[in-house]
Amino acid sequence: MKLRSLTLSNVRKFAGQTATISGIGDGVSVVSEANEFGKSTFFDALHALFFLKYSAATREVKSLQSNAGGAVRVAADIELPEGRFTLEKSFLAQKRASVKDASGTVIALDDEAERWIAALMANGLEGPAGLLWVRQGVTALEPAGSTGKEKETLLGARQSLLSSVAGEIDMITGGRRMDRVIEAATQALARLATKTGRPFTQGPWHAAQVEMETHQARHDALDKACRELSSALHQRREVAARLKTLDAPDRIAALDLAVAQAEKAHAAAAAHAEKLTHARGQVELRLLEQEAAQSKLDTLIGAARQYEMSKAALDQARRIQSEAAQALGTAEVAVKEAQRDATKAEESLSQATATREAAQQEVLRQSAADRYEQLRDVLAQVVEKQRGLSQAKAALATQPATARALAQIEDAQATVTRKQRDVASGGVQMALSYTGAQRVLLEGQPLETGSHQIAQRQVFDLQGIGQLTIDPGGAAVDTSALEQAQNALRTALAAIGARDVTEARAMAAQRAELETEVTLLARVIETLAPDGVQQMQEAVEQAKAAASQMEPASEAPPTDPAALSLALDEAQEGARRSRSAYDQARDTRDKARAAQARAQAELEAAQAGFETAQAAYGASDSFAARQDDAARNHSAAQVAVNDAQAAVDVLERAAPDLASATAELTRARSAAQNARDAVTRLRTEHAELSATIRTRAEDGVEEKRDEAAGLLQRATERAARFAHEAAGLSLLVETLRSKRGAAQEAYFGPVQQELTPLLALLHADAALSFDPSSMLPQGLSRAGVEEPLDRLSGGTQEQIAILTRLAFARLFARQGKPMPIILDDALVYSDDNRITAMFTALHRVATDQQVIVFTCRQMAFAGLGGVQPLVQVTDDG
Amino acid sequence: MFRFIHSSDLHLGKPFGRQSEDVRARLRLARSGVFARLAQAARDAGACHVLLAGDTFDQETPAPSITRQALNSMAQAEDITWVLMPGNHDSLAASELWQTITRDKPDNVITALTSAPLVLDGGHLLPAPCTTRNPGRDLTVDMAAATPTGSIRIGLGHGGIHDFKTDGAEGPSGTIAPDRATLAGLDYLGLGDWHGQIRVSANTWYSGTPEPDSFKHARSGTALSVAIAAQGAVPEVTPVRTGEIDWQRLVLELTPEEDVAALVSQALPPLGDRRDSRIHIEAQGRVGVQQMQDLSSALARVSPDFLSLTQDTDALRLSHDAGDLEVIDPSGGALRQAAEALAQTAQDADLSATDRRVAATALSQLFSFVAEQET
Repeated sequence: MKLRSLTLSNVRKFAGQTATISGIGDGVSVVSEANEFGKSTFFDALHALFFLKYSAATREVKSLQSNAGGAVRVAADIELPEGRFTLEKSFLAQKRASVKDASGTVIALDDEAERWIAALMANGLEGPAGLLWVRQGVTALEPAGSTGKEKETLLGARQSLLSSVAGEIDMITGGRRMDRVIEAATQALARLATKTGRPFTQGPWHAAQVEMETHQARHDALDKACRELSSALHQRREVAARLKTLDAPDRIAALDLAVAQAEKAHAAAAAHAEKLTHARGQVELRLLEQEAAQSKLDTLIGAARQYEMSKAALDQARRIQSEAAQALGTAEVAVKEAQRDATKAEESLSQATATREAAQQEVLRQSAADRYEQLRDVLAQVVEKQRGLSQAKAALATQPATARALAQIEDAQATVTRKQRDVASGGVQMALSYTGAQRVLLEGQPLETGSHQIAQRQVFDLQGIGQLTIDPGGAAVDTSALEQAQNALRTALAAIGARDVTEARAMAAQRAELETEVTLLARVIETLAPDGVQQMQEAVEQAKAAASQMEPASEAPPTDPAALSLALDEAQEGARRSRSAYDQARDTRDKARAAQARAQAELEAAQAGFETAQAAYGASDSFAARQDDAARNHSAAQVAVNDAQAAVDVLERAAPDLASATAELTRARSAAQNARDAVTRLRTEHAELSATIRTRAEDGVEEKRDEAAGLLQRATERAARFAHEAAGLSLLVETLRSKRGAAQEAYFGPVQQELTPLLALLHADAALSFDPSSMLPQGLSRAGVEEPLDRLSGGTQEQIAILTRLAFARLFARQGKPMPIILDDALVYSDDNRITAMFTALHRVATDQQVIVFTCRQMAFAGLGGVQPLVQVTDDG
Repeated sequence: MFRFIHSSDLHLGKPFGRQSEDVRARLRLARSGVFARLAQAARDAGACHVLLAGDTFDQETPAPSITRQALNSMAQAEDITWVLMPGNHDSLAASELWQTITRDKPDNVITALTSAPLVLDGGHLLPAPCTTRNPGRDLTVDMAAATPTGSIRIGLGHGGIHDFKTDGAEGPSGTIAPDRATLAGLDYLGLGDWHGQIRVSANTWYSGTPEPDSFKHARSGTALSVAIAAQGAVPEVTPVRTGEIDWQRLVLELTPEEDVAALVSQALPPLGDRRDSRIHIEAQGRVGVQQMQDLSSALARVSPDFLSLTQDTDALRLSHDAGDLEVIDPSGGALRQAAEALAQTAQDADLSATDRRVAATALSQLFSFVAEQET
């Protein structure tokens, strides 16, 4: 398509006017006019002609209206392979659209004209594929604003820019059409299934599955009921058949007859058994009678024998009792004698014991007196030693010359001696001899004649003469140490009160003796009174009390303890023997008494037995007659037993089997009863089954089951249809996305191919990268370094934006679909060099299709060349 | 001349669970009117007997209302004598059913519960009631039982003369000898079990169901009007229509060039017959995407005309041509490529039938979505 002219009537600043651009060429056409001329008005009007519906009253349409109001009219002459056409739209006050051919014939009006134009733009597809627009000042390719409104504005700009290539993108990737189809398929799938392919809980597939499960459960329950019904019917038939057999009249009669016969046989057997029992009772009775006769005879014979035996036993008992009485008398005498002997022995023992005790008491008393005396003597010694000890301690207390004090004195003496020797070895010797009475005084004291050692500088008073000072000089010695030692000796001696060392030594020896004495006396006292003097004094008092408590014997006790012990032992032995003899005598007497008692008891028993036997025996004169009668009675009883047993034998041989008769009767009765019970049970079972069947039948379970089966099948099929539908949708969405992705990948190649030579006009070795999601350029790569598009300069961004469209335009042209490129002051940031390169790019593209440039930069675009369309503005009317 | 109506397989109480509620109600209503239509057929033929050769009831123990209403319907046609014989669905094992019928039946109903000959006005009926659902033997053997000399002998049996099960039909095991009429000296052998009407021989017929219940035996239900002049005479057998609902299974053999809408229009019954018709369309062959859409649209358009209209397109293979795909995407872009990929998958013989069907469905869906975008 090529645009040849554009006419605006009553549009914006052209109120009441008609503005026309005509003579638009095949290649580059430049509409170069000053600002405020209305280039953008042409631009917007052209956009409205192609993309806004004539009936629209949107803000965009209203923005075209002049201040005077009224209808807005836009018309364009275009050239297609089919010929020239005039498109015209009138907006707002007079809404109309029309398409006319070259002859002026209207070929489409209003909505049809809209469709005609839309088809022209999109070649049958939706979207503005027919024109590539670049609006004034809109160069950004991606929204970069931070605030909402700015972002929205930039987004709109981006969409506007993208819209110029969207048609091609749509053509390749399916575009919005593809998006809508995918969206529709996705929504349709979402109504059925989740993302994991499971039925969506709110969707019809899930509902069908739930319905299917519901019908399945109902069908299963009904099927179970049907099986129960069928089973009940089957059981009832079997029950009825069995009932018919069991309840047959001839069968019942046969069972009753069998019972009657068994009862009769059982009664006969029972009667015979009763006779036999009676006969056996007779036998038992006869046997008892026989036993009684036998017993009576045996009693008589036994009584005679017992009588003789008891008589002999009585005689024997009497003799034994007499002997026992005699033995008891002898034993009583022996006991008395032994008792007397024992008494005497005890008396002897008592006497010997008393004698020995008296002797022992005397010994104890003497011992206590001795102990008292002994303790008293020791105590006296202790008291004496204590006194000595006290005296020694007192003496010791007055004697201070301890060994230590003596040792100090000895040491002081040794020091004085040593110091004296030191002094004697130094100083000078002064020999003094007097001739008169006058004496040399030293410190006021006269000096004796003789040699005096002058150890240090000394000043001597020479009475009447003056003073003499002698200084040993280098021989002078220090005498203070000697004096100090001498003072120490004097102090030590004074401490013990000694005048000199010798006395000190004597005093020390005396003190040592005293210490020895004190130690000795203390040890003696400790030996005599180990528990202390006080304790010893108490012991003396106790011994004294013990000795005073024991009185001396009235007469002198025997003094031979051995003899006393021997006499006591002999008395004890005698007493022991006497007691033993006495005990033996008593045992003998007790045994005699027991034997006598037993003999007496046996005598009494024998007497009683004899009397009993005598009573049983009875009168001896009639005994033989009584014994004969008993023998005869016994024989008669034996005969009666034999007769009764014979009768039993006869009955037993003829007896029927009562147990068998009883068993037969039981069996017959049981069979009859079982038959009646079975009939009753079967009737009950039949009634129960009939009730079950009626209940089920009234429920119509089979029909419901079949109905549920049908519903189940229908629901199953429905669920399967939804599953199939979901599978189809899933496959469709997957395929669509896959193909769109593949198309997107395939899209970049040709665009890059067209873009590269155009880009090379501005940047050698530069390449543009595209965002696969937005399908727009996202970065420029130069010398191996890629920069995001939004960081490039405004000029570079607008150049890339235009070049990208030019690349699309060339792509379309090569595909036989050339379309105009319309630029409205699109190059506002480019410098002179770049704008020249861009002019070259425009001309390169213009070999294939129209490039219409609106610009106010008349000077800058003078170098663009191309055709200058004629612009006219005339007043309407 | 002994005239009677021979019918069978009423299947009263059949639930039709797969159908929608309104269809079910209509089918049941039609089924409940069978007695009146059979009675009218008998009157029209000058007959006073209607012999039902089994499966009068669909279940062994139908709901009491089914039994009662059936007996009431027969009682209302008091000028007709009804002979009910157990089939395999309502065999003698359905003791509760037959006890109820025996107890409650009106005087003009005769139950043939044993093989003992029944005396009818004009002849003897030799029934062979099904003892169980699957008796496992030819029950018509007993039809050789003697009847008075000169009496017309009518046999009434239920079951297949060959194993219908191989045809997918229900039926008792144990087949009826096809020449039973000859073997037993019958003047006419009326059979039930097969829902379609079949003439086995001149005097052996399956009456078919008087009111169809599936698409297997298409068209309306029928009964047989039988007239026998005398013993040994060839019976005059006349099919009479008794069905109220037409069940039609239409097979549409489609080709890519077919005008699907026109074909559908031609195949469907006249407008006046549609209300009481159930139609099942089985489409087979190959069609394009557009044709598939046309078929769906045509069937959706006429579906409300019918009691029900169902379709089975499982056997229909999706074909496509450049035109179809052109409609989807004339630009040859991604949509077109997706459509081509789906079409290729739908025809890929190496894939399972299920996968091919899914792909065909996906293509059809794509077509629909694209079409929706155009409107």
